Amino acid sequence: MKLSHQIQRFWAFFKAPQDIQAHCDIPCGIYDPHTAQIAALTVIRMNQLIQDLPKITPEMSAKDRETYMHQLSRYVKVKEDHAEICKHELRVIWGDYFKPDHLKTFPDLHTTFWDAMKLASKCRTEANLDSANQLLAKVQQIAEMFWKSKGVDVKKQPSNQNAKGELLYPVAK
Amino acid sequence: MALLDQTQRLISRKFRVRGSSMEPAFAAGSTVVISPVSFIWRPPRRGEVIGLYSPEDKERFELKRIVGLPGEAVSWKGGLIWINGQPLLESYAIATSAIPGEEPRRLELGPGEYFVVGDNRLYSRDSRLYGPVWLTDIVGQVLPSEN
Repeated sequence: MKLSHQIQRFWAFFKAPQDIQAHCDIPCGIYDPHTAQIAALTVIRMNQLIQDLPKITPEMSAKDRETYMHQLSRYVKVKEDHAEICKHELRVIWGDYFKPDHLKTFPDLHTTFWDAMKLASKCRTEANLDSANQLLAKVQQIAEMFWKSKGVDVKKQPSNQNAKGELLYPVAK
Repeated sequence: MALLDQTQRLISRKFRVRGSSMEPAFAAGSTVVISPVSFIWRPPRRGEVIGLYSPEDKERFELKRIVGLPGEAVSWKGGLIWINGQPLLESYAIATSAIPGEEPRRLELGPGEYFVVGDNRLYSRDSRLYGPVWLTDIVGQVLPSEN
């Protein structure tokens, strides 16, 4: 080992915190892209609600403006939160579930995740229904890869939620 | 050997163990003594307990045991480990059987790469999840208790 590495090791040793982690993270091996889909569908619904808000006008009363601001703030907050939940869920599946071997079957795996993460970020920064729909489609692409990697077929069916649209589910063998 | 042992003891620090992933040998709340001197003259060996910085988070200082050495092929299923196809006998580990349907996984270690695990396999996040660790991430060896 090089001298520079030895020096680094001693530096790392002396700056190490007093507590050493033997943390108890349970590698349960249970993953499911459904939460990411629900989060993406929520982002769609929040964009729909933002679009459906009455347009603000000079004639509006102070009370109506207050109501408008309150509703808009809530929708934006939920949209932000669920876009972030979607990113978190995707990160876990991307980083913990998928392994280098999966690239043989899904050569565009990294690009698909990367695109989904970028779309989720766009959904945070903008109120854009098109981006939200694209996000759900991209998450479903990932969900399809996920289930296929386990040899499980998938099907789409109506979400039966106010947001409309479809969700992707694994099919029982 | 006595001189090396003295040097290791002299340049060492005590750390408090947080979490139960290294039980039963190292219980949560217990103290370990780590020295960075051990690996100046020789590389880490299988079975040694080490302090390292996690490859997932370079700020997290972790306690793990080395089971796979550079150039070896490590396979695992649940908490059970094979080295170059041979089962690893580990009296120190609480190894669990695989989840039904779980496929064995395999990793070939390159030069300078080590496979580290927690002794309490069901409750440990380690090389089975985050892959190999580099020799340069290994900070020091846990010294045997003087008691």
